[in-house]
Amino acid sequence: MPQDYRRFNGPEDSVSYKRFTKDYLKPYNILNDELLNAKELRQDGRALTEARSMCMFFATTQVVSQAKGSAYVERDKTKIICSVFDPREIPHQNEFSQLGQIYCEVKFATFSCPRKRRPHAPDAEEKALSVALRKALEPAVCRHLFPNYQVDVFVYILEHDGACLSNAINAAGLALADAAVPMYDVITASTIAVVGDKIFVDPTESEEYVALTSPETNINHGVIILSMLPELKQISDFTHIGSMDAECITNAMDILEKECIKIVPHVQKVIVANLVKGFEERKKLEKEAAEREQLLNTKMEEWKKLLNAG
Amino acid sequence: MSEVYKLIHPVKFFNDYISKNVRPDGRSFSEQRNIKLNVDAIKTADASALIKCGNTSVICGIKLELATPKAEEPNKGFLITNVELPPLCSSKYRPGPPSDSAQVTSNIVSDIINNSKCVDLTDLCIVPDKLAWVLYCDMLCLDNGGSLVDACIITLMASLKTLRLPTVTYDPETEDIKVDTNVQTKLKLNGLPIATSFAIYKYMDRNVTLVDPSSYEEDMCGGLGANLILCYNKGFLCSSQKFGGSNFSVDCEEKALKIAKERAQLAEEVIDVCIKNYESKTNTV
Amino acid sequence: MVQQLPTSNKGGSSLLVQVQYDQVKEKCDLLSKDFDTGLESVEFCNKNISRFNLVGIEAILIRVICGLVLQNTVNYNIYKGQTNKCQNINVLTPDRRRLTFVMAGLLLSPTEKVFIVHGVQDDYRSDGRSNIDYRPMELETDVVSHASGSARLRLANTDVLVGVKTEIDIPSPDKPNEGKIEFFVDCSANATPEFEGRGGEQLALGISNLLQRAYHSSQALDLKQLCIFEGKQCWKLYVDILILECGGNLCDAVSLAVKAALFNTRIPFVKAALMDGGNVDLQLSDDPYDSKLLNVGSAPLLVTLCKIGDKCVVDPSAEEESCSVISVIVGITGIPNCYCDGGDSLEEKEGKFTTIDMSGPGSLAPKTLKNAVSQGIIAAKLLDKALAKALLRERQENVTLKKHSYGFLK
Repeated sequence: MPQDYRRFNGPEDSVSYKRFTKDYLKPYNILNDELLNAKELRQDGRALTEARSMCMFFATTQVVSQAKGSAYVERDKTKIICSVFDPREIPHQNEFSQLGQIYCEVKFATFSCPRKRRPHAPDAEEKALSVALRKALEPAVCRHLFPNYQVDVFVYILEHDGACLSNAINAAGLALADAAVPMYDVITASTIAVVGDKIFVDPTESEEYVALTSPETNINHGVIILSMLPELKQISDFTHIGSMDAECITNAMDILEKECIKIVPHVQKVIVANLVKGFEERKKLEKEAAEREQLLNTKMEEWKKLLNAG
Repeated sequence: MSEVYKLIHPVKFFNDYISKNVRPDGRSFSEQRNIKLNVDAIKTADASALIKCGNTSVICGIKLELATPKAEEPNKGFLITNVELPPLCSSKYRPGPPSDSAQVTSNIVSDIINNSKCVDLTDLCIVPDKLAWVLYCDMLCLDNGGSLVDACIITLMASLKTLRLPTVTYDPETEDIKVDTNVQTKLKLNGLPIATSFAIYKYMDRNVTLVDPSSYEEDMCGGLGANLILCYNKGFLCSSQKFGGSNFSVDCEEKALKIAKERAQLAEEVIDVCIKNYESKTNTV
Repeated sequence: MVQQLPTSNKGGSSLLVQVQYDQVKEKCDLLSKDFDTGLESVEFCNKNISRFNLVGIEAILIRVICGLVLQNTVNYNIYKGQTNKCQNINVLTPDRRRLTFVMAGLLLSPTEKVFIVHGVQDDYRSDGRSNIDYRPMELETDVVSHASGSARLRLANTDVLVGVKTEIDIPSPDKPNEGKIEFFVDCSANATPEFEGRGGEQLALGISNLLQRAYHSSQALDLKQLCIFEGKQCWKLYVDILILECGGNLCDAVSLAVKAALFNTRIPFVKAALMDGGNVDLQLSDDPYDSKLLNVGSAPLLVTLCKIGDKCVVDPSAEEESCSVISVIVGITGIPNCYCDGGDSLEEKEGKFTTIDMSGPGSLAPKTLKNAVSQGIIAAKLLDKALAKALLRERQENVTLKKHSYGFLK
């Protein structure tokens, strides 16, 4: 691994202190048992099929003032910020592209993951997430309207507590809408984790971790992320890791579809609120401009009178 | 209308404001922006803080790791500070390795923290020559609205102030390490360095010093970021750096030093209040 | 404005050349005489495009988008009614900028598209296959002598070479009793014009990610069989995939070749182990036949289902690909029983999904996705059985006869 001279680097052999705590390396069974309590409720008190309540906060100028459009999505502990910039010509290409392109970059903050510190340089997981995000957004955007141009979408995951990709897609959809990029439909996404016969809707990080660990027995396990254009009833991306049978997949698809549709009113509310705010701001500005003009006109009249009198 | 004017006559637009002794965002020359601080915003980090200062928002997260100390400094730990300017925060930055301005900002922040000696690195050593703490402090800029260094230092200090180190037991014979997260100690801090940025603008034949400049003002005064950064720790000047911009006179300097000192006290109060609120909240819960 | 050029009956098939141009007409002067002489070269006398050669093209459609050069679109539609072959045309412009035009994106007339869509609807495709039939393929194992295992697969025009290298590594702390596997895809610049420069990187990354995800679960490949000494040492498999020629349906071909190479992989036995303090010193067997084979029966196969109309087909031809905007890629675990001798009689386990992904710019309806998934599992089962049969036969031949090799590498 080449040394990164552009940053300050710590010692090479440093390891997270969590490796030496008692909780590290708990066997799979214990971790699995810990996910549900006696009342069949999850660690944070949710039922299996219950998604974390969506408290979204969305604004143009408040989140990233320098960007064309931006959004911030927070789902309990998972925190994601996204910004979208003006289209620019596609760099380094000598062929004319009929369709506009979407450039996506997903990055984890170094301190975002509970288990280990993330490196500064993009790793394989971040690259895979970037590709998945691009694939999910592409069918939603009217790309033929900006040929040979690309729109940059940057996503930063500030805190990772499960369902990262789906919330990144939600945030990116909102940011694109905020940046007034023409789209066919809003885009929503949701995640589920499967462990055996249990299906966790909108999983937390520890639930995802167990779902992705290979169990000893031949049970279903894995994580599925589905993104949708809800009004058009189209699936724009479907990502699945793990191992499960066909019945489980079809079952999961139905659940995910319903979850995606459930988010739509929240997203619409945010977009409408943003629109109303923008409209009011504009009205206010117009009013101020009119007042200024009137003031100027009266002054002009006064001067004219003075001149005429003189 | 004013937006168009700003685009066509950028210098004249700015001069018009300066001549009226007011800044484009309505502040007076020596007025700073409000500071909003949120401590322990990120639960996955060992300590964190988010600051919003006008449009500028910076988030700092600290991750703790263990490593063997350097052979030449066997009784010292590590404090690694990095400032990240992702492409997300402004259209000025492109994806890829850190840009020049990110490296410059990183260096300034690191210099200030090292020069002020607010963290004694020997405190971070657990067993000399064997085991020491590594504090990875990453400051992530979410929105670059000017005076980046000020915001970085405040959020870094607030995070360091809330940082708690778990106890570590080291068995010299078996080289076994055990960490107990239930018993935690606070990190000792020597004072609280606070930086204040200034932009210096030459208007007619006088120099105007703008306190806590926005990114637009920084651009107008030339150079990357602020022109002058002064840092005070416990009422003493611990760092002073000047980059580009216009020259400035002695009386201006005196005034700037006074403002920086006052601001340091003010920011310190803000941090203290925020941390007190946070601690009382965590204790009651 | 459409100009019809004279058709010739060379080689028993009609050649139709259709040139559409209007604004470029003054700039572009097409010399048509070359078409009669067997379509060896097409020449443009033009300020921007000097000349380009088409060598050995049987039937082709070129879509030249001169976004930078002419700011105009010229369509050359040369049609011969035979199988299509991808060709690469390099246009040398006076400023020495090489522009590459891709002919993989075939243009079909609406009627032809309708014909293909209707065929797919009735489960009878234009080349006589059903929706879950693959084209014939060639498979050869043990082609690279320095690798622990290797395979080469040719499916239509797609050619893939896979080599497996083994190395000793330290297991990751959170999985002390498991080995490691890593995939690396290299797209040769000659494979398709798109790969020139850095074009292949995205695709290579996509395929290696997909494989990594497909092999993620222990139900796909049990990494415990790669463990040497728990927590201290394990085998790491480097699977290097070289794409020699890209003629579509890449994922399926790669996954087949990877499984064949893993089936062929031999891991040397450990002769002795010495404990030296905390470190383990291993002594490996030198004899290449004193080695174990991996149990790869359950390794997943990737099946690409190309959506045409409301239905999906596997292994699409170039014409079929141009009728589709999206395909679903499913990774399905193999049937372990088929890979043991005489295991056909045993009860078969239903395959499980290890990964599902979508590729292409379009989207699809939930119902279509469900159909595609259930279709994929059937196709994968047939494919896996065929692969098992071929691999077992190859192994048998290796033991009994002197190996008769077909490939270019031997």
